[in-house]
Amino acid sequence: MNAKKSKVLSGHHTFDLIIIAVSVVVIVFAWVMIAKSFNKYKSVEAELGVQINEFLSNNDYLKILENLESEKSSLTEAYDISRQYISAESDETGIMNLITDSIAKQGGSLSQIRFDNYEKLSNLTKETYLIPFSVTFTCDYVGLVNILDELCLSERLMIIQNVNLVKKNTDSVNNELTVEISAGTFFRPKKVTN
Amino acid sequence: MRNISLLPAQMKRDIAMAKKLSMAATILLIIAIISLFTYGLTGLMLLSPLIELESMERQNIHVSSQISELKPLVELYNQVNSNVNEYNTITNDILPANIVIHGLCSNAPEGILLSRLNVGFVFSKGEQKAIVEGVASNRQSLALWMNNLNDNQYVYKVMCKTLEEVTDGNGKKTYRFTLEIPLKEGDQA
Repeated sequence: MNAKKSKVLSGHHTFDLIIIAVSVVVIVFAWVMIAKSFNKYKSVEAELGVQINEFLSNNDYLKILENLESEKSSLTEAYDISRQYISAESDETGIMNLITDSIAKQGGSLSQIRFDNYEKLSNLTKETYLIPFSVTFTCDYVGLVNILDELCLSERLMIIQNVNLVKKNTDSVNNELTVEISAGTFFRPKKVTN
Repeated sequence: MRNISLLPAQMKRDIAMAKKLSMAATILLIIAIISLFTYGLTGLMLLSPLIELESMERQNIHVSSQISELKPLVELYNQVNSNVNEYNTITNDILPANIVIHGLCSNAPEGILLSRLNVGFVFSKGEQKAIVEGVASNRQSLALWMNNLNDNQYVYKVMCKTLEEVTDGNGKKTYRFTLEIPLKEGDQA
């Protein structure tokens, strides 16, 4: 009878030991997986934070771009105007035409246009040259103001450094002036690519 | 009354051991079930941020594609900015000749006749000044004009350098003058 009871107990042991072994395996597996899940959760949260920040900054940037898009026509116009400030060619002929046309329009008479040597500008990042020139002509006061307006507001940037005007006759009837203007315009040679 | 077991000592130990084993098995089984449940829960917890991450990635791709479509505008904007900056750098120290000349000459009162005007517009060369020579029929007209010039936005100060009384053949007096007018910098104007 004792042997029988001992056998029953031994069967019980085996069953309990199997449960214990399986439970331990399950617990270890579960906690390994929980740890992995936890790590994944942390990395997903971190990635989500990165994505949210990226989204917010991209969204802000997109809003700026949409504003630019709504003003595209003005921007294109501004670009068309601003790219003409500095010519890609020295184009002295163009300068001469502008000046002679302007003086002729105002009923003046051109005496001389003189171009001096190019001067490289040191305060600009891109290689840019000043084309200094001086113009001598005669015209009346209103004509002078209009010529100065045309030069100052021309599409190609012109700077007027000095104006010297002398009244031809000192009587108040004759309003003719002899004018000498020292001015300059700019050009930026295109880079030669091989 | 005492509970006395007459079983052999070996069997008593076996029974105690069996009870302990059974209890350990039960406890471990419960822990295993709780662990599995916890694992299930963490899986569920992970689901929400994963879905959110996926949706955020989709939105980012969408926004990025919109940005790349509009990117040429930024280049255009930068180019305009760069051109305008260059314009400002070049014209920074130069006064607008058309406005300055008109401002100097247009408000001369009657009786003032200008014979010569020389205006320098470049500040970096220290030449931002006007020299005016002329004739005034009387001193009051000259004083009035100097006063008017002082109100000009580009005029720093009007200084009378020379004033000479001239009498012509008919005995009429006129005043030959030279004014020196330092000009203000563009951003002060």
